[in-house]
Parts: sequence; C-alpha cells; structure tokens
Amino acid sequence: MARLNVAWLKRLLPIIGLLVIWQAVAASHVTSAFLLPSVVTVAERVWSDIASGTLAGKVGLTLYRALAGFLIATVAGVTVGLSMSILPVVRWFFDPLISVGFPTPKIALLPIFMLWLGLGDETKIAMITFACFFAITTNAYAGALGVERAFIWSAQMLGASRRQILTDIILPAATPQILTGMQIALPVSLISTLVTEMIMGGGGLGGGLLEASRYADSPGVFAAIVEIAAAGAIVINVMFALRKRLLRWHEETQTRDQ
Amino acid sequence: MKTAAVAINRLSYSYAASDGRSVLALSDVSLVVEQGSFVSLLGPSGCGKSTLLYLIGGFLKQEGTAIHVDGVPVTGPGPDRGIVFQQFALFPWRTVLGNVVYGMEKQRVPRAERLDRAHKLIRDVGLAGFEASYPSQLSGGMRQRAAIARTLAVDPAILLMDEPFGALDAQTRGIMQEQLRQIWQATGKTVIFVTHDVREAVYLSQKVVVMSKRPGTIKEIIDTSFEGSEADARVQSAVEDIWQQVKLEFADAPAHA
Amino acid sequence: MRPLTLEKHPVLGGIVRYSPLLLLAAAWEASSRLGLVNEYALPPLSTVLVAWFQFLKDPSFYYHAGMSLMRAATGLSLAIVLGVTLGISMASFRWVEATFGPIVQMFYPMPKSALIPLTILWFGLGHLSKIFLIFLGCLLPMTLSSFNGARGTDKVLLWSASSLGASRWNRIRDVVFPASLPSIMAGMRTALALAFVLFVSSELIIANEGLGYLIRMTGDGGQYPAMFAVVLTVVSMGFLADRLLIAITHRVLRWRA
Repeated sequence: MARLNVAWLKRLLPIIGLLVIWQAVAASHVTSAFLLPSVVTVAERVWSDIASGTLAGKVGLTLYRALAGFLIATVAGVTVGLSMSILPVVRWFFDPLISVGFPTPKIALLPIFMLWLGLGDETKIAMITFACFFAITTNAYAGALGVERAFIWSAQMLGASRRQILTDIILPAATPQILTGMQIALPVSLISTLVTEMIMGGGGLGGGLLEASRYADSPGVFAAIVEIAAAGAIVINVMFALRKRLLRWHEETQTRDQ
Repeated sequence: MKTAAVAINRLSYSYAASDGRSVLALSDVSLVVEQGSFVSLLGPSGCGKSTLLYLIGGFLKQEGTAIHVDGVPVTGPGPDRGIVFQQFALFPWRTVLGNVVYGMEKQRVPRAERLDRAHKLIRDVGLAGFEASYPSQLSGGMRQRAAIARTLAVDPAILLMDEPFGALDAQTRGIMQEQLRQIWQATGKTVIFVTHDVREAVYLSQKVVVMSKRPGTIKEIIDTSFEGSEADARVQSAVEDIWQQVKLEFADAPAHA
Repeated sequence: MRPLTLEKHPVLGGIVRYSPLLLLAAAWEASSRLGLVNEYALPPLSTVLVAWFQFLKDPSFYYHAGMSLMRAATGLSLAIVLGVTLGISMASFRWVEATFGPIVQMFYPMPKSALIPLTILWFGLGHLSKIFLIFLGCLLPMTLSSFNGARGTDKVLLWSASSLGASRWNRIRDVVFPASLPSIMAGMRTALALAFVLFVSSELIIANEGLGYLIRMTGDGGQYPAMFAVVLTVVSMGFLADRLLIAITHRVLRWRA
C-alpha cells in the first residue's frame, strides 16, 4: 500500500512542478497579471464559482447538451453501423456519406444548423449529434464486419433468425469496437458543445468562458479553462471505467496490465 | 585443445513477474561451449533455455560475472554474438538487402564492400532475386534465410539461435537444418541452438544440453557427435534416450505453467 | 478476358459508389426548386454552385482560404515535429516519461476548443493565436500516438539491432521511429481532423480573415448561397486533405503486407 502511494506521489510531482513554475512566472515581472494571473487568484476564482453554485449550473447545462447529443448519436450510429453490415441498401447509401462526412470539420455546418433550427438548445444538440455520429457509425460498422464468420454460421445452424443474429451475435461481438467509437466521440461532443456555446451563447461552460474573454476578465478565462479541463477529465474517465465494466467478459480487461 | 568460446560458471537468474514477485528462472547453471562447436539447449517450454541464450547474448542484464565470452565477462550485446530469432525479427521497413547491410552500416564497412558482401550472402542463402522485397512479401522460410544472412553479414564468432525453425513447416525446416549444417561446417562458427525438438537437436549438434523445467537447471549433457557408417543408427538411439529423459519434464511442465 | 464488374471500373465504379451523393444533390435541388423548403433556409444547389463560381473569380476568396490553410498547416507541422520527438523520447527515456507523462495524461482529455479564448488573450486576433491553438490542440494526440507506437516496439527488433552493432541513438532512429510510424500516421489523421475543427471554430468565433470568418460574414449578411458555398469549400478541403494523408500513409507504410 505504501508503495502505491509513493508511485502516486511521483506521478503528481510534475504537475505540482508545473503549478510552481506557473506561480513563479506570474509572481515575477516577466508577464503581466492579465496575461498570466497567479495560481492563487485562479484557484480563488474556481473556489468562489463552486461555492456560489454557478459552476454546478454551468457544468450541468453543458453536460446535458453534450450527453444528449452524444447519446442520440450513439443510438443512431449503432443502428446505422450495424444495419450497414447486414443490409446492402443501407451500406450503399451511407458508405459515401460517411467517407465524406468522417474527415470533414462538422462544426463548419453550425451556421446552417442555426439557420434551420434557430438559436435554442435544439440547434446545439443537433450539431453535437451530427459531430459524433460518424465516429460511432464507422466503428459500429467495422466492429460488425469483424465478427467471426464461425459465430454467425453456428448461430444460423442453431436456427437463429436474422434479427436474432443481429441482437444476439453481432451486437455483443461488436461492442468493444462500438465502445471505441464512443470513446472517440465523447471528447468530440465536449469540443463541439463548447464551440456551439461560445458561438451561440446560451450559458454553459463555453458561454461563461466566452463572456469572461469578452470582458477581458483573465482570471475568469483561466478559471473556466481549469473547470472545463476538470469536467472533461471526469467525463472521459467515467467512460473509460464504463468500458472496463461492460467488457468484463472480454480478454482485453483480463490482460490489461496498466 | 580447444578453447572455450562461452564459459558459464554457476549462473542463477531471476526476474520480477507482473505481480512483483521474483521468479527464479535459472538455478546454478554451469556450461562450457568450445570454440567452433555446435551445442543445443533442449528442454520443455518455460525451462529457461531461451533466457539462458538471451543472457549469453547480453540482452538480459545479470549481476556479476558468471558468463564469459572469449574470456571477457558479458556486459551487453555485441556484434561478436549474432542472434537469430524464431520470429525472424527482420526490420519490416527495410528490404532484404536493407536488412542484410544494416549491421555492416553500423560497423562502417565501405559502401561498395557492403553491397558486395550482402549480394554474396543473399545468393548463398538462396534469396537471389529477392533483394528488393520487403519481409512481408516473403514466406516464413525465406524470411528466416534473410535473417540468417543478416546475422552472418557482421561475421560473428558465435551464432545464437532461438528456436529458429520453430515457426516453419516440416519440409522447410528440414531444408533449413541441412543449410545451417553446411554453413556451420563451412564457417567454423560456434553455434548455440535452442530447441524443444529432440530430433533436431541430436541431428544438428555435437552436444545436447538437456534442461529441467523451472527453475531451469542442466540435467545432463549428452555427446551426440556421431561420424561414420553407424551414424544413423546411433542418432536414432540417442533420440530415444534423450526423449526418455525429457518426457518426464514435458509431462510435469503444465503443473507449474 | 476477365469480366470487368461495374464496381471495379475506374470511372463507373466511382459513380456507382458515390451515387447516393448525387441522389442527395438532386433531392436538395428539387426540394428547394419545388418550394418544399424555404429558399432562404436551403438555397438550390445550382444557386450555391453559381455563388461558388463567383468566389473562384474573387481573389479575396483565395486569400481567406490561403490564410486558413497556412494556419492549419503551420500549427499541425509544429505539433507533428514536437509531438513525435516528445512521444518517442518519453518511450525511450524513463526520466522524460516521468516528467511529461503525468502532464500529458492530465491535459489529454481536455476539450481543446476551451483554449480558444486563452490563445486570443495571449496572442490577439491574428495568425499567431490560431497557429498556437492548432499547435496545442494537435500536440497531445501526436505525442500520445508516437509514445504508444514507440512503446510497442518489438523487443526482438531492438535486440537484433544491438547485436548488429547499433548504438542507443541508432536504435531510436533506425528501429523505434520506423516501428512507431503506423501509430504516428494514425495519430496524424486524428490531428489533421482536429486542425480543421480548430481553425474553423476559432475563425467562426472571432477572426478577421479565414474561411470560418467568411462563413460567419456571409451568414450574418444574409448571403446564404455564398455561405453554403464556403461551407462546401471547407467540407471538400477536409475530405481532400484526408484522402491525401491516406495516400501518403500508404506510401510511407508500403512495407506493410
């Protein structure tokens, strides 16, 4: 146990070092307090955001938007991706759309979404769904294609229907790859949420960040970035833990040695 | 009298397992390999025969001076000990020619001589015409030939071979064994050959070192340098003898795996 | 003669493959022309194409596109050079990993777009803030993919190189770097997409030039066909850049089976 704590401390050391350097640079007169407010100032701001409850409100709003878009994209992406693996028409239709849509910066379409859906949450969630859809679909499709033929053949031999093969064989076998797609899409959802909030307003962490930047409130900008980084780290680690739990049956959880 | 190419004196070696415990892989191993001889290390998987080879090669670090090569304690890898692995270990991003010249590049052999020697070696191992192929385009047997040519290119005094033919099909293995025998006879190099194939060990080597399962110890050293008319029959009886010895080790092995 | 199936024909195959896009384009044109949707909300494709051809004659369009591309390319190149260096150093030297590993780990999940206001605070509205943003955003994916690739280097390849006489620096340059290339190229694809997202986002939020700025200006001015044309430009640039990178990747990794 003691050894574990020492290892932890060693991992923490560079981060503490970074904070010390930050504080030292801020305290010296190399930069101004505007360009680099001190660690203490920023920490105080974060604390007051927590204490006043404004942080909880912003985090709640941002996570609601991000996760709503992410979950809709997951349902749609898994449905489309798995259908592509068994229905040629679906594959024919979506294959070129995905090959064009996958690499494009989806956020460029935000002004079009705004034109169509207005300035409310629908637009934001639609944008986030669209941004996440491609990563999940391609991974679900690849996962379904990677299912061993032998599994499908033995299920057919045992008299499974096409639908049963999809839900009983392909879906579980494609799960690791689907989760990989979700792990790629989750940070995309957060990035997109922040950008939509920064462009459209409407509060949330991104809205708060842009407001601080508008009023040249540099401690506010730094505090918001710290808050966003923390929220991002928590969400992504929860997803990672979820993956581990869902894949208890899978060999990657058994052999993972780090 | 022949001098010792490799001398191992009371070597023990342990490593840290993934759960942090220390595992004893080799215990009190002593062995002398004479210059120019062909010695096989034989034993079930997990007996530490590859570990012993990696220690001689200097790839695994060990405290003390239990291993001497040419009278000098081993402290790390060096071009005096060439190695051939079961997985070939060719650089996949280099062509056959690129792999064979690599060691000579590091030894600063002049370019023209480098290419000359490489082309000759590639011809010798029967890969002429495949100089520009990448390893991924070759069959297993061809890859292993390329790997042997790459090792011979730096002209090491000692060849360390880690189950080099274990990944090949039976027919290719037979051809490769014959080729290795010829290379050994032509060059007079010292060969230390790891295998778990009794017949291969007896057929190729002058001495077979039979090892016991973990912790690896030397169980017996058997002379298998048969010459003359009765050679075939004696090979056959030696194989049976050694098989009897090893069988017990093989049978018990899973209990400790 | 082998029968040439439709899918394999170089031109027809492409048309068949991308026919759903043509279908969507036709549906777009029709729905707008027939009044199924508001012409402001969705200008007919033909009108958008006319606006696009207008742009092609307009030097300022090239200026904006050039600005965006220059920012993305500069930031991305810097991130690739530094990220690969840092990632491979982290995998090769324990102290580099101990120093930078925790920092990389801490910042990796951070939504990169949060840095937009910070870079504006530091560098204003011009090039430098955008380049720095793209550099910072792409740095971590490049570092992590290089680190993972380098750490996965097959041990027997490193051992082979040492026994052929390669120094530590030789091993990093000749073995670790090429062995990491598949992972580096995969990271580069992620970073490329991110560079596009970041230049568009930052220019949409606040900028005086670039394609993102142009989308915003045309949209705010109610010139919707022009706005759609710029969006189409960005979409096709992203697609083409990705295809180009895939082609480069195939070339760089041609040694793979």
